[in-house]
Formats: sequence, structure tokens, C-alpha cells
Amino acid sequence: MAFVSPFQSPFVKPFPSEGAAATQLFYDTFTDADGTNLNLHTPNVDTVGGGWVAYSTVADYQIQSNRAARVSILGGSDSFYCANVGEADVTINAKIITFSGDNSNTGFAVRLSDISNFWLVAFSASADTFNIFQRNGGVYTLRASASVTININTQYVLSCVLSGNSITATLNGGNSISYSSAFNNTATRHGLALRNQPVGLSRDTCDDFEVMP
Amino acid sequence: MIATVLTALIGSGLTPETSFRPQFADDFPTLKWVDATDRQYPNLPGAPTAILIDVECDAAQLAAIESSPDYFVVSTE
Repeated sequence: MAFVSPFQSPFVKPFPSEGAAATQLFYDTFTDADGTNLNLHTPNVDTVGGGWVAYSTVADYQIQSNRAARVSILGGSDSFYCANVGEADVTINAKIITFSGDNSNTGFAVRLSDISNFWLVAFSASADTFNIFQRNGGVYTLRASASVTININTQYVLSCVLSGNSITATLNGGNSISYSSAFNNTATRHGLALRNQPVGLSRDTCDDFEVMP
Repeated sequence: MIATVLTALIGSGLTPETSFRPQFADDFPTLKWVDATDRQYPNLPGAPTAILIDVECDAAQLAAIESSPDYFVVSTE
């Protein structure tokens, strides 16, 4: 029988890898003291080493209540934290809560080579959409989109499968969207794009971020 | 069915929320679509103002798209 975390809703699929930590390239439960900057925090599994790297003008992601949280918007909308996992073809899973502070898309930055070149796989609670954006030379282009109802302050399991030119993402195991492109298909940095402006303790947060081969 | 639709290109590309995107995405936010071009729009000669997208839709939704003067349905399959 598959292991199901007790804190997951019954309709949320468990991560495929739960109970199989040895196969993870990167894994973080964000267990640390509140206020720890994410780039100073040590992940549970980090096979390449180097931990989280801020692609931002300031370090504005911290640990809060054992989750990664965007605690300010000082880095602007372009503030991402990624880890080099050494592989471009991977499966990424995480549990994300959004609250739609300034109507921003929140999710993963994947196949990042620098802050101006990557893919953004994200959902928007204000627009109720699930999207794949390309950022090429600093320019964002929306490449694929689907309608999905997003409730604020509700945890969603975001998954992204990167294979060759294919990018496929699901939300809670459904609502699949995909796109195919050779752009940055050898980039090995993947991570978080928590983009809503925090309001008090209302923040975009993430738990159990993992990258599998 | 999948309808290939010609739609105006809008946006500035400065943020995800103001990204280059099809006008269709704003007008039909409940329909699933994917870019059929994989082109980097600002770099194309002639600064294109329209793009092709593949839209998942049923017959009634296709009729709604076809009835709009803003869109041209190139093909369906």
C-alpha cells in the first residue's frame, strides 16, 4: 500500500517518491528556525551541493513555521530560489499555498540558467488559471494555460515533469498542461517562484520540495 | 476537439501577469490552449501582432469562437 502523509487531504495524491528518499536529487522539508534565510538553510537532500541560491536582488525567502515563505517583496516580482540538481530531465513536486496578495502567479522556476532565462510553471488564485510561461532574454511569454479553481490558503501539490523538450505540469494530480520547446532544455537549476506580495502573515509558502531523476 | 485559432498578440512581456499572450487567453479564460508557434515574438521580423494557438473546445465553444469577429479558426481536428 502506498504511504500517505497524514496531513494530506485524501484527494491529494502523495508524492510518488515518499518513502524513497534515497532516489531524490534534492529534497527539503524546510525544517529550521523561523527567520532563517533560505540560502543559509541546509536542505534534507542535496546531491550536488550548494543548497538554495537566490536569483533576486535581495534575500526575501525565509523559513517560517517549517515552510519556505516569501516574507517581503523587496526582490520585486523577479525573486526566485533555485538549486542546481545536476540534471535537466527531472520530476519536481512540492506543496504550495498561495493567498493571491497582488494577483501574482506562484509556483516553480525550472530549467533556469540565469534570472532572465527559465520556465515558470505557476498558478494564479486571482485569475483561476494554471500556466506555463517562458522567460527568454528577460521577456515573459505565456505558452500554455488552463482554467482551474484555486482557493487561497489551501495547499496544492504542484508537480512538473521535464523530459527532453517536454514540460508537463499537474495540480493535485490533475489539470495537466504541457508545452514542448528546446529552450533551456539542458539547464539544471530548478526551484521556487513564490511571487505574491506578503501582507502581514499572509504569504505564499511551500513545503516538501523535492526533485527526482 | 482541437481548434487552431488565429488571435491577436497582446502584452508587454515585462512580468508573467503582463506577458506576451494571445488576446484569446483574456477573452476565453476558461478554455485550455497552447501556443502553436514556439516563436520568440519580439525578435521576429515585422513585429507580429497575431499568433496561432491550439484550443481544446467542444462544439458549442467552437461556435462561440467562430462567432467572434476577433478570431479566425484555421482548422479543427
